[in-house]
Amino acid sequence: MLDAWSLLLVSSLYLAVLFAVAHYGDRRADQGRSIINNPYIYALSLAVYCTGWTFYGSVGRAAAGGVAFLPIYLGPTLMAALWWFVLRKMLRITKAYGVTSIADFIGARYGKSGLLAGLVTVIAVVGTVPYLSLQLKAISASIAVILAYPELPQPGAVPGASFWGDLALYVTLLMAAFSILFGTRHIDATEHHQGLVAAIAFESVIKLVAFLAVGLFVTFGLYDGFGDIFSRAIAAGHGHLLTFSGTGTGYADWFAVVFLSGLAILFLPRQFQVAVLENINERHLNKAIWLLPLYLLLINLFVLPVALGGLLRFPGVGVDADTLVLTLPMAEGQRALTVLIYLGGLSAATAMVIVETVALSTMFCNDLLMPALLRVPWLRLNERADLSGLLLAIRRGAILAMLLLAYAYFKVVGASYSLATTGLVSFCAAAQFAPPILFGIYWKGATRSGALLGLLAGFGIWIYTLLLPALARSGWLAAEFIEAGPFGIAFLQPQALFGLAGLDPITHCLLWSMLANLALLIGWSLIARQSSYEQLQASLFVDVDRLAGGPHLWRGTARVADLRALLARYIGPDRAEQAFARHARARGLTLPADAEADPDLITLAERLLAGAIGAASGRVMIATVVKGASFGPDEVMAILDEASQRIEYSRQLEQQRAALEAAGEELRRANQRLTELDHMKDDFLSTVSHELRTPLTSIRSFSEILLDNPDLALAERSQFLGIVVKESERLTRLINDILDMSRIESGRMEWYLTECDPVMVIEDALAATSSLFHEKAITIERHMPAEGPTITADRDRLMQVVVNLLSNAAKFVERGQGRVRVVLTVQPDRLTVGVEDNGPGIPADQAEAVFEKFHQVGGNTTTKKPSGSGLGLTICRRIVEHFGGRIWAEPAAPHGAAFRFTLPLAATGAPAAEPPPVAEQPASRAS
Amino acid sequence: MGEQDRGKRLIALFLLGMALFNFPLLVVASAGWTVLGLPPLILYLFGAWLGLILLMALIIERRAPGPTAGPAAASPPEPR
Repeated sequence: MLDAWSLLLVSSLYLAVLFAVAHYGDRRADQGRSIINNPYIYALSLAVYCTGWTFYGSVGRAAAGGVAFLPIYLGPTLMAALWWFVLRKMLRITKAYGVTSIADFIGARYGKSGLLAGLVTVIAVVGTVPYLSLQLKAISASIAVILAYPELPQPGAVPGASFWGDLALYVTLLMAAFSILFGTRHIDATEHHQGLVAAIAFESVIKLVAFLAVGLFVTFGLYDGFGDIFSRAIAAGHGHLLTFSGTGTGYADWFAVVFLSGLAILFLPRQFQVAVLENINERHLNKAIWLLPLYLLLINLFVLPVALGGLLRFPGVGVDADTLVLTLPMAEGQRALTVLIYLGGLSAATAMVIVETVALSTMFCNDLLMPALLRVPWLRLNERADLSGLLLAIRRGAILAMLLLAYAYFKVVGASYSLATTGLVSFCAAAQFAPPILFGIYWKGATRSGALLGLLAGFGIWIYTLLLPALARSGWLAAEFIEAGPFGIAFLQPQALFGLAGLDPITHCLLWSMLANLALLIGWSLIARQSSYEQLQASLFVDVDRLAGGPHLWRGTARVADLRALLARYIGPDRAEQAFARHARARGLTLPADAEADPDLITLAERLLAGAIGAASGRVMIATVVKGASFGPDEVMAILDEASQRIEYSRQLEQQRAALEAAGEELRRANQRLTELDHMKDDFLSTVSHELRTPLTSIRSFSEILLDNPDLALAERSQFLGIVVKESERLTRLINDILDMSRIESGRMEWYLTECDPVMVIEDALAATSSLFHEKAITIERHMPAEGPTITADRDRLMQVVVNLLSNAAKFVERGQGRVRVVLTVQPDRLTVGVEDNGPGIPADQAEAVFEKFHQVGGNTTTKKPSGSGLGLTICRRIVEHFGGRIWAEPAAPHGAAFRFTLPLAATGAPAAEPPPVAEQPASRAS
Repeated sequence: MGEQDRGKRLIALFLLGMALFNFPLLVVASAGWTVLGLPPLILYLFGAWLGLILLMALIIERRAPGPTAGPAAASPPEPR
């Protein structure tokens, strides 16, 4: 299939591409044009969760236990829903306080405890080395399978110890080189490793594509789709793999793995590294919440088909199921696909190894080795001028050491477990971090000693129930230790502790370790007291949204020169100088060497130091140059109070500001409204004056004619006098209307309520206007009951409305062809009166406008004035609304206009006590 | 949808998932018949999984605040 040289070439080419991607990512970051600053790359980088174990081991697990591989991916899916709260809070804390690793996070929460951070580091390293070795095993096994072709790998076969069998070692060394190059670029561990993240995202794409390719090949190439594979598998007697009982696990075991993997997606050191430390923008989290589960779903879609396909393809032959992904396409002679799958597996394994070693080396350096070295007097590290080189060297050395340790573990013990089981052992170790972190960020009462005891107990149980049995199985310990218990005490059997038998070892360990961890953390926290500094840190973590950037934690004094010298030793003179210069510029200060450092500067220096050597060591180092910096309990409480008060105060200020702003806005709007009203009043006045002047002008001019020409003919004289009388009448009407209007609008209108029959009112109105109809020969149609319901209303006003509508109708119909329909309908709650004509109608856009003052249909108010005042309909509307009704105009069939108004029947008995709210007609008060 | 509503819905989704991938629904799904050759347990697990993902996407992406508005900007409604 492929010889060793081609395999080496392919591997080298792939790693070269990886280096190129990382290099490009770092270069773009240096230019300030980040390529990883988007949610998709963030979600892809989180997929570092899918390691070589996913790639090869899932199929192995599925071949043995059907859907038993799934809970490892269902747990993260469920947990992703809670990221909205948990991960967001962890992100805020990390960004606010410059956390550098999961050990640093826990240590900082519990009073910047170096001891706790160190313990977390030890757990992380011990718990992860088997996991790292698992990846090396995956790579090595895939190489061995390809080289051994056409022989099929047997279960439990250990790769040969030839030169090529050690290809895995060379790959390991290359990965170490990668991690060193791209994972330790900055002395400040809080800075993002952009190139590294870009490479990880790239690898996530490769492994997904590779697995989908083999899935599609098996499902649709070798078989005829999902249904075909499943049917054949059932026919071949593998049906039990497709039921829950076929998983060989109980519901408790299933749930334990869901729970465990849900914790692992957050608390594995590498997941913490990519999800929390490498996060650039908190907003990327939102998309990742559903994108990561989607990725997991896709990469697992074809696991069962491939596993079943393998079982069908190699019936009875004992093929190592962990390698089925490779052996299936190889058996079919698919060369290109084999290479792609090999690269997919390589990418899955290398991504995990790279991120994990970077995370572990930072922890190891900052939280374990440096604090220890600084305590050793004869090393005189405190007197060295520049330690930044040493720090980087330690981290790089740690990466190499970690990988070689993993390689050694793989060589010695690695063959004893299948891929998936070893991974779950590591998950159990990482799960121990969940209680101190989750309780730490939500419960201020969690204490350092409680966390320490909980972690110790959980870790101890993990060693006893999972690690020691694994070593025993590899022959490093006597095997009867597992079966019979230590010294033959069955009660203490590692995998049936206190007689709890019948559980999967993983479930068993998880149960006991979580129980002990939680019990001690909670119980001891309730008993023990927190130191004042712990209290402070607890508040800073739990109330991160309120307190971040709030209190100054250093109250003592320090000289600027001392701080600068201290910083220069750990992060290098140049960076220290830059940081101080930035600080000075931002605050507009000069920082002479012998000046006193302000609290801000001390806090900044501590943060920078924490980034380089961890929070615990950073605090210790700062304390060496800051005098009088220790806090008493009262002082801590004062600081917290002050910070809370200040924040509370600024919140109140903010509220007041918002209230003022709202009030200002209200005022502005009221003012605008007043201005509008003012304009309307002016308009009204000028319109009214105009309306009054028109008849007055004609009265005056005709009177003058009569006065100047006493010898006018009688006919002419009486015609002119007729005009004068008519215009005077119009003037009177206008003034009456204006008076009515202003009385209604100012609420001074007097209403005389009587019981009346609307039919009678309408008849009276028709009688009053009969001369108008008669004159133009208009046909009147009545559609009214003989007798209407009795209503209580002001009869005269009601009649005024009907008369107004009738005379309007009479005004607009054609002489001789006019037809006016008067309709009265009675509904249970109201009656409706309609006056319909067959005149020219009202354009739809004017149906509302006709009710405005001085609005005349079909022209402006100055020309062609019929006899109306322009106020009639406005007054009608006011009257109808006063009785709680509604009036409107609409087109009548087939043409013409219809005016209708309603009067509520129940309410007419007791008309509204106040006039309805007067909209837009304020001018009456001014008139 | 406010930030708080989204949080509540996501918690509800988490609880729903806990119920879906657990006893006794798994027993119910683990039946012997097949649909188009696909066993019900497989259909159920992947279907429920996909459903959860779609709901998460729906809760998070629907009317998401614009790129310029931070999470805090979503709370005060526009005056008027």
